[in-house]
Amino acid sequence: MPIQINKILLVAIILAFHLIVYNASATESDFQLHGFAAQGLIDVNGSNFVNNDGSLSPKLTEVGINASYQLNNKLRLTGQIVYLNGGNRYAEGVRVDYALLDWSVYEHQNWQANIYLGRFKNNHWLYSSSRDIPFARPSIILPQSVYFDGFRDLSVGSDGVAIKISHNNDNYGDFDFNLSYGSSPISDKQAELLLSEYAQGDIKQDYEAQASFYWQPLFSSWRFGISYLNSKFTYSANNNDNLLYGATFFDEMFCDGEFCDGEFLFQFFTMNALFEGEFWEFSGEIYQEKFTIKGFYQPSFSTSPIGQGAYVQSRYKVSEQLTLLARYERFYADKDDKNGEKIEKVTDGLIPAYFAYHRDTTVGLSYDFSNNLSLRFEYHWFQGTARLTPVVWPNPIANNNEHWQLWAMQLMYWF
Amino acid sequence: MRQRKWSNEHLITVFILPKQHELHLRFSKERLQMFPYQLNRIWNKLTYSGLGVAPIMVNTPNELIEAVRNTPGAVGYSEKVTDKKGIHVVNIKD
Repeated sequence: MPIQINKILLVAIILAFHLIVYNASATESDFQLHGFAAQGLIDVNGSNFVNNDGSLSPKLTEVGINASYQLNNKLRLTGQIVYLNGGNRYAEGVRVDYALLDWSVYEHQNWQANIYLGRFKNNHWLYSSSRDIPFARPSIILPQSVYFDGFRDLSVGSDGVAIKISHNNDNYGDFDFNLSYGSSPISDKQAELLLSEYAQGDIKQDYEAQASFYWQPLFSSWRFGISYLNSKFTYSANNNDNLLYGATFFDEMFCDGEFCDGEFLFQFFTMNALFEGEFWEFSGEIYQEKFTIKGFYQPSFSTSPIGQGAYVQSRYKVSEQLTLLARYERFYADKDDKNGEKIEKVTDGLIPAYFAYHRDTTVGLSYDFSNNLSLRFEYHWFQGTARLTPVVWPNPIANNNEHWQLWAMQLMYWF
Repeated sequence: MRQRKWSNEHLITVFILPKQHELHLRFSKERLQMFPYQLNRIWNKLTYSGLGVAPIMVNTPNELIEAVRNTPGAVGYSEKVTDKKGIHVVNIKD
C-alpha cells in the first residue's frame, strides 16, 4: 500500500552493515567515469564572434570525459579531457581540462578543508567551474563581461595549488572560502585572440592569484559570493628583428616591427548573488577589472583603464522539462569612456566608439528530454564590440557593426 | 549534507534515484530542504570540475537497495525495505 506524504513513515535511510567491518580495499564506487557530448548550430549576424563570413556554423562542439579514483580516504586522483570547437571564440582542440590530486586535509562534521594540486579549475566565480559543461551552465553563450571567451583558456583554471575550506554553521549557514595560485600555458591561438595575429613575440602568464568567499544563510534560497583575481603577463617582442631601447621598467627593452616588450597586469573583482526558488531562479554578477598595459605599443606606453560590467539573469521552470531564460548585460572597457568618444579620438577614428562597450539582451529556453539529454535554444541582441577578439589590438574591419545578433541551439548528452 | 566520512573515517558512498523520480523529489524537498535541480547543480559542479565526487545514480528503488547492500559505507533512501539482510534501516517519521 503506497505511503502517503505527510503521514508517518516517509523514507528510510539505509546503511550498509559492511560499514562496521569495512575493509579498505578498493570498490567499484572508488572509480567513477563521467562524460558529456554536445553539438550545436550557431549563426552570428554582424561580427566575427564565431566565423569571418557570417554563415551558419556547426562550430559549437563540446566533448569531455573525466575519471576519478579514490586512492584512500584522504587522497583522490581525478582528471578531465575536453575537445572544444567554438570557431573564433577560443582555440579549437583537445585540452586537459583538469588533472589534480585532491587531498582531504581536514574533515569534521562542520568543517572541511581540501587542497588541490595540479591543474585545477577556476572555482571562484558563479559559473566559472561549469563554463565548459554545457548542461551545467545557464546558457550556451555565457555573459561575456565576466565569462569572456577571449580569455577562456587563461581564466578557466591554472596549474598550481588551490585550497577550499567549507564551514557549516548551525546558526548562520554555509561558508566556502577558496584560494588558488598558479599560471596557465598560453597557446599561439590564445595569444592571437588576446593580442593580435601581428604580435609575433612570446607571451606568458607569470602568475594568477585568486580568492573567493561564498555564504548561503541557513535555510535560505539565496547565496552570495565575492571574488578577487590578480594576474600578470609578460610579452617579449620577436627577437629576430628587434631594436633596443633604453631602460624603462625592464632592464632592456626590445621592439620588433610591430610591438615592443610589455607587461599586462589584470585585476578582477566580482560580487554575485544567486536565488533558487521552486520555479524562479535569479542570479547576477557585478564586475570590475583593471587592465594595465605597460609598453607593448611603444616602450613608454602605459595605461590602466578600469572596466565595469554587470548582468542580471532569470530562469523560470515552466515544467520539469521546460525552463525559460532572460538576461541583460552591460560592460564598459573603460569606465571613464563609456560611450567610446575617447578611444575613437585617440586612434583618429581607427577604432570606432562602439569598441568601448558591450550590451547583450538574451532570451532562451532549454528542454530536458530525460535525466541526461537536453536541448537548448537562445537568441542574443548585442550592442557594441568590446567583448570581441583580438582584445589588445581590435579588428574594426571584421567587426564593423555596432549592432549584431546571434542565435544558437545545442543538443547535450551526459553520463 | 556535506559530510563525506563516517565517524570512523570511512568514506560515505551515496546512492540516489533519478531526479524525476517521485521519491527523489520528495526526499530532496522534505528531508534535504532543497529542490532536485539545486542538488544537480552542486553535484554537476563536483563531478565535472574535479572538486569532488557526486552521488551515484541508480534507476529503481530496488537497484538502490541492492547497491547499498553491496557497497561498504553506503547510504540511500527507500520507502520500504523487505529484506533487511546486510543493511541497517533508519526509519524517518514526520
